[in-house]
Amino acid sequence: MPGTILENLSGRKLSVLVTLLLACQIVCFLVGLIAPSPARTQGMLSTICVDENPENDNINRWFTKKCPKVIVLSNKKSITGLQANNLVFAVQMPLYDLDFSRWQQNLVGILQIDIVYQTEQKIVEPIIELTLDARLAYSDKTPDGGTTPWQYYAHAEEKRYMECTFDNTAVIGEEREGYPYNCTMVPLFELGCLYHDYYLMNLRLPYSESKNTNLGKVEDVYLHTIHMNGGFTKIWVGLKTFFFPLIVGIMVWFWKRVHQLNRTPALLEYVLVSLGGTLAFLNLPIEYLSLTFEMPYMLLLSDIRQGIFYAMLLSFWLIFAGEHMLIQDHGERNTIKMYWKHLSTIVIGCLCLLVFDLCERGIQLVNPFYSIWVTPIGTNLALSFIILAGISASLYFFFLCYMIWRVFKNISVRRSILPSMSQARRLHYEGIIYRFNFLMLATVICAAVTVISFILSQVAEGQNKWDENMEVELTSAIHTGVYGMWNVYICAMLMLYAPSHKQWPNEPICGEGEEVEFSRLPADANASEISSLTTFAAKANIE
Amino acid sequence: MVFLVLVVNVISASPLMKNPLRSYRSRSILPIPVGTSPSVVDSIAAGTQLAIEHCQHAFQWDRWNCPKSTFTRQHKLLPTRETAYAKAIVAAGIVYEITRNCSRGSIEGCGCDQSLGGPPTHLPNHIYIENSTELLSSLVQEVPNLQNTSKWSWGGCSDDPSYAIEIAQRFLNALDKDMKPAAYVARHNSKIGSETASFGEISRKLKERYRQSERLSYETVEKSMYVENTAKHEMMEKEVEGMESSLVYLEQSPDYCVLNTAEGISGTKGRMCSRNTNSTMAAERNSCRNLCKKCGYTVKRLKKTVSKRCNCTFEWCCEVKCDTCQENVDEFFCV
Repeated sequence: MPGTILENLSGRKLSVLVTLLLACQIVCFLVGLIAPSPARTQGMLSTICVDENPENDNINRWFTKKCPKVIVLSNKKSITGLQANNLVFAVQMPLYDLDFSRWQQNLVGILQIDIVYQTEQKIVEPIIELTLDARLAYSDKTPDGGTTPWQYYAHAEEKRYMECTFDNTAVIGEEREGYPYNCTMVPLFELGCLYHDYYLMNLRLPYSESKNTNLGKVEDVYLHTIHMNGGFTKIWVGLKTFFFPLIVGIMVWFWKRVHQLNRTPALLEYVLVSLGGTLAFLNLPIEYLSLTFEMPYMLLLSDIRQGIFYAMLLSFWLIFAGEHMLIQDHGERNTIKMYWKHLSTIVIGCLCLLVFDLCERGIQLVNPFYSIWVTPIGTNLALSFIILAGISASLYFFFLCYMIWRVFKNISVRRSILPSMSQARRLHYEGIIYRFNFLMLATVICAAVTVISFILSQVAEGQNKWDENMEVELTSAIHTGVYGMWNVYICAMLMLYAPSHKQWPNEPICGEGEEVEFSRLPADANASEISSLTTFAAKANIE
Repeated sequence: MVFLVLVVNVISASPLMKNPLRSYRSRSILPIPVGTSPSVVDSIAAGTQLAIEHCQHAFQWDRWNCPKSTFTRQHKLLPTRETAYAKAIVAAGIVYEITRNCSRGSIEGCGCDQSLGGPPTHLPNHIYIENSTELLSSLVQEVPNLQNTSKWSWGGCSDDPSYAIEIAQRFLNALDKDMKPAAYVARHNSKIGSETASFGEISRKLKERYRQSERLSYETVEKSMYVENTAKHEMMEKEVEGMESSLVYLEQSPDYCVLNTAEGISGTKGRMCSRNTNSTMAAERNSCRNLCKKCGYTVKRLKKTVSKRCNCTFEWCCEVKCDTCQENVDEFFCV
């Protein structure tokens, strides 16, 4: 009766396999080095146009850079006789006569409103409630080199909060006149896909008794956009395209081998194959579709895919460690039910994140200007979600480390009985334990990197929304490296934990050092067990 | 040099900054090579104008009140600390306007790093730009071509603040391109002013630097320029130790009290001063003493009734409604 490939593969073959996997990992990292940074920001100064008929409700009136009447707010002469409701801040994206490529995937817009000190228009309350009437339009290139007329894309009137402070100590008296306030940035919109070539934002700051009354003297409005870099997407999707068939192939091979055995698959095998399945789902390069179709739900979809993968990976590690710790008391077969306590926490955590994500990204499908971050309550809620996610990720990691430590302890206890065994048996188990320890080490590293990158990406996502001074930039190499690591690790797990077909004679063949072939010992032959290590641990447990 | 004179003249002829200038320029008064980004020219003009306004505001209660002649260079200016300030504020104004036009997207290619081409240029390289046509050719911008587009799609295009500094420096250094100490000092001061920040901030900072500016001797400056011992015998220059962030000048300021047409000084006779004791600016509080009495003039009070806008209501952009108030004011002049 065969064990797993991990136990039965010869040292030489195993080292070739490990070298191959490591090389694959290094290539993934190096590929990230040739990619540009994942995202890029562009700051754009708005052109301030005069809308002579602010009452006109026609949604398809668009003001561009070339609008008939442009004013400069710092120039008093150019604004005489105008009212706040006449002014439209127009920003055409992208700058410099370039056009968006669909490889750039998504677009985030953040407002920076420059307010200057004016003795008569001082800001009374540092927290300013802004009312923004924001509209987006799109346009595309035509084959003859022109562009299509601007078409309505989205419109919303939104409230945002902005905090402005003035450095009273640095500037005194009359020098304050015209000196800028220090204001926080305001998130404005998030587009889940970049289907069109050009986008145009028309922003109004309507003024009435209840709107924008506490705003000081506005001089300029900048829009900072963040988009994915096309080069990064290409490399990312390239990696997915490479790994997707690979992982599907290995899964099929793994499952075939499991079915060739005359027993029902064990829990670990079920978990492994579903882990492979979620990875394959994550790898599925549906980004190609966004090059032809307008898919605003791409961001949501990729968040969901990532979330499912995280949940599965975290569950896998718990079960993997648990299976080797032997939670079962009576040597009976393990089922998923035994882990419900461990797994339910992961599932609840992931569901929380999903609900949070649906709240933001889901509503953004309808209204790209929606953001959970805008109200103080929303910001605190979102922040606590992220902090909670970070804390539970680290808690999970420590719990996992604890479990793995127990696994090691468990094994070392069993190890103490090794000297009493025959030499063949001892060598056999020592070899397996050595390999297993190595795999566990890889698991710990993989888990640590996953948790760290998860926390970093949460921080990176939040940073432009709550603090622009925080500089956390995950380079492309780290992204591709971590992504490659998951693929390599899961490939390795599927391959090493696949049932081996090797049939060995009853007498163990003993060579020297690395060349020992660890064969199954007849005494361990047990159709219901997948690995002799679990059997060994279990047996020792019962003894 | 000719160029700047024209720019300033054009601006002072037109009350509105932007559009009249553009139409003026398109009649090709200026020696602009085909293809120069119109926005670069506009930015230089608007930046100079902004600098003049700020300078005149900042020095309205000083003996030297930043006359326009400082910027037009219709006569040779002494390398005084006032000239130093003027150089720096013009540089700041130009950098500010180019930066704005870059982020408005009207200067093509100033975001993507490849736009200027070649390695970053340093001061000595610009000194030999022969004439203004060549200078402007060096400011010619590439229209984004296919290569730029693919670069944009691959790695994006961020706004690059150093671009504005680069353009402004090229332009200003070419105005003071010779190897005389005065030109060295002018280049240095332009560099001090070339900074990207809000203009209010820079202008305040420069006033501070003006107060702390340092006088250099001609020998020190000459020692900072030397002939490189290479085959090309290129002239090189280095920073004077400790002066990396100070405004520097060579000559003591002349007497700004008395009229001196040769130096372009109009004197303080006839200037207005202020007896507003509530003012936070020491220069304003002391202005009558400084401008009139210390210069040997007397202060004359003029009682006047002026109509002012008052009780204004504001929206975030503009004053909307104001009353007109009659107010009796005292104005003081040096006679």
